[in-house]
Amino acid sequence: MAKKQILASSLLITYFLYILLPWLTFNNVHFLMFNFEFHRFELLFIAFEASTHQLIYIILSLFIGLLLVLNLTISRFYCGYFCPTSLASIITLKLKNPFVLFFTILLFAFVFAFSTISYFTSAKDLFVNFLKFDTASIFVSILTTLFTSIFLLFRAWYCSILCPYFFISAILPQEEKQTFEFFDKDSCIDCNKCVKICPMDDLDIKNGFDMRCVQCGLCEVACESVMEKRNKTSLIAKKFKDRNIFKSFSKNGYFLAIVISILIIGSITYILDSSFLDNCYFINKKLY
Amino acid sequence: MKIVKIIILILILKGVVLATPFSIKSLKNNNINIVAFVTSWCPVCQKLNNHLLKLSNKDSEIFVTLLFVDEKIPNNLQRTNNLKLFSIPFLEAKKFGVDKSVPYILIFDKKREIVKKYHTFNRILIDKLVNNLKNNLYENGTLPPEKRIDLWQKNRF
Repeated sequence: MAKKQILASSLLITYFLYILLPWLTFNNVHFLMFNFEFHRFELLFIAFEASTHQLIYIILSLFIGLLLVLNLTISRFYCGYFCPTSLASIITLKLKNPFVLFFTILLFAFVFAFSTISYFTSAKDLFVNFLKFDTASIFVSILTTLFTSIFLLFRAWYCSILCPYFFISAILPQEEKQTFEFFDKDSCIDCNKCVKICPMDDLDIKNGFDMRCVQCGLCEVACESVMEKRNKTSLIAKKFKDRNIFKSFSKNGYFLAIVISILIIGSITYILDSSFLDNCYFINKKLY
Repeated sequence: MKIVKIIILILILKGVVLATPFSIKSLKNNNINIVAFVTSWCPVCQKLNNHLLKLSNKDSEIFVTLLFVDEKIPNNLQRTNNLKLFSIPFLEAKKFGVDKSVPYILIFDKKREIVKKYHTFNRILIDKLVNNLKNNLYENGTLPPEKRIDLWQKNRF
């Protein structure tokens, strides 16, 4: 019996969480928000006053720190399990009609861009004032065009050349990330199903290890569905059987990730110190 | 009895009448005036208050006015001759240029003309500017035009 891939469910859950988080509020304080409008950093329904440059430093430290932490712990599994680009590539695999495909991807990218911007201003205000074309809604429209072009046109080219996550995963040691392997060349019937189904364009697993592999396991499922008729198992299999999303890298990587996450928390608490404040806003009087 | 009533009324209203609202005309002449719109809850303002209190203690040339926006004057501040404290409502403060945030600092020269407005507190900038104004220099540290030696005119003949 062919395996079922678990890819879509985890991708959908992360996507919906990403959309829902900016809408969570308690006493007008959000779950996670870099509030540039009212000059405060909001986390877990607690607000701290922070000026614009403090907010930018917090975003930078979180961005770089999370890139390193995710690369050291789940490494390439992030792309296959959480990245919205993979979800978009699954949509493109499923839909055949180009018009339907374009408009679904456009809607998908719009919702994604909208929720990205609503981490920086209030989501409710952005939704109500969207047609007024203020700065936030212009940013949303710019991001939708960017995301649609990435999801439809650039696809694998973006992932392997521009994506900052791939930068770091390409620098880190590669052999341990090597999971799926094509081992039996003689039994292959050249159906090329593994190449067609791969979310990365032009990635041929038969040529050997490729850094761009997102560990989704679609090629293994596809190969098994063909080889079942010939009473054989899949020609593509996991090289390390015990390797999965929870156990993807060496112990040193996990240790480093813990150190970096402590550094992130430390740097954010250092940045939020009141001695870096420029001025205090009358709206934030309640915080003191 | 009417006279007694009037006297009592005058005694009550004395505080209201004498507590004149802040105006630029009430600033001291021939002094460098620093006017700051502050609050007691803001950590930046607390630093500014301490710095300005020290300045007014040290220098007799500097006259400091602290305006507490939308709150009463705190009791723990030590009062000196070169210091005046007011409490001012937000709408009144808006006329002087307070927008959304405190501190808002205005610095006047000895002729009671505005030299600089600051929306933030920067100790180095304020100290430099006060030093320049004390030595009768322009805000950027140059001499006034009458005292400048014009090299071009000097070497003309």
